[in-house]
Amino acid sequence: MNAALVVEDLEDIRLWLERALLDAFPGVVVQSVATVGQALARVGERAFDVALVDLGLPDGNGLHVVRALRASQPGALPVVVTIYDDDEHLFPALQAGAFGYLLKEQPRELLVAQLRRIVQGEPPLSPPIARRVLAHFARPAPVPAAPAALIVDPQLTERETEVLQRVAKGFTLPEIAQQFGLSRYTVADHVKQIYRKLDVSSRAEAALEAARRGLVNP
Amino acid sequence: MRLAVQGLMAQPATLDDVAADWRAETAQRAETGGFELAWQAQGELTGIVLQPRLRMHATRMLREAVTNALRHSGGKRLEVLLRADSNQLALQVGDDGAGAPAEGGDRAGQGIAGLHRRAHSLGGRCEVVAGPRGGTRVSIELPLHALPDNAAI
Repeated sequence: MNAALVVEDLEDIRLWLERALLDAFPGVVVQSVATVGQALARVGERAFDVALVDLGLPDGNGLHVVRALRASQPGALPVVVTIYDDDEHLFPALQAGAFGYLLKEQPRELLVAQLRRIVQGEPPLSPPIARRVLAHFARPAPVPAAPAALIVDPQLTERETEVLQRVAKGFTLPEIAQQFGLSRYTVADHVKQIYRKLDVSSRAEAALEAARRGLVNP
Repeated sequence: MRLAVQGLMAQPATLDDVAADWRAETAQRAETGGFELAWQAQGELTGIVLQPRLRMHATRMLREAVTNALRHSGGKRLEVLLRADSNQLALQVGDDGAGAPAEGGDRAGQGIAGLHRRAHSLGGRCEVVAGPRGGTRVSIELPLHALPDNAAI
């Protein structure tokens, strides 16, 4: 954990995030910017291990930064930082490839602990998001309009569904690991798979939509 | 940290969903602080809807009571009991630490004074007593309806 990027336009929150990063990872080099434009420039200049990205930035949506990181720095972990704990804001961020999200209004020691877990490969997953992911995968799989060149829309495994159901009830990943007799790393891997499937699933939907439009307007 | 939080928790939600959020946050904090958590929920939570304002204040009160137990009690075990019926929401937060802090100028005392203020302005009440087996027990009771109209917190 060497380099972190903070993308946040409000100064007090930016400082709060910087301090949390330094608490979680002593010695980390933190670069902070306030706009999407500045963030994209930094992403083009150097590699980051983790990026904390606010969604509502003065010159656009932080999701652009998440997508740019995903595209150009596969080793970086983009994490969305938001005041919104509702799935309407967070779900699109996860679909854009964010490796989790952090809420601005939460006890500081929790933020630091979550940052450490993220970098150890355990993305945060809150009950509202777990409910939304369950609903997303419970819908009937779309019938392919054009079979060629489509990404297969992934489905959750039984175990992944069980993990989500427990998270939705408010159990933490270590608690779920204990309930299932699994290691916490195994449960974290399930969560990572769920995130990955969400990302693939959204790209499959986009491909399907593009194919459908292609058929309508060749 | 203090923030303008327009949009945060802006939707009414059923108590079982809110309780899951509360449980998740409390369990993570207990783990981080090295506490064992015993969480119990009683009542038919699915049928109870929490309005945004009550949800926000109850969330902060639970958070404050948990902070007191984790930071100031010196204990190892955290007990949370959530009870609800169609009229009232009750939260009890207990620990096995050194006993009730005095309501004075220290941080724990200020936190408890804040709990009393919030409970009062929501038309409810808050009690901090010695637990039956030692430690401290914070009991919060909040009415689900008939909140005072212009209560400022």
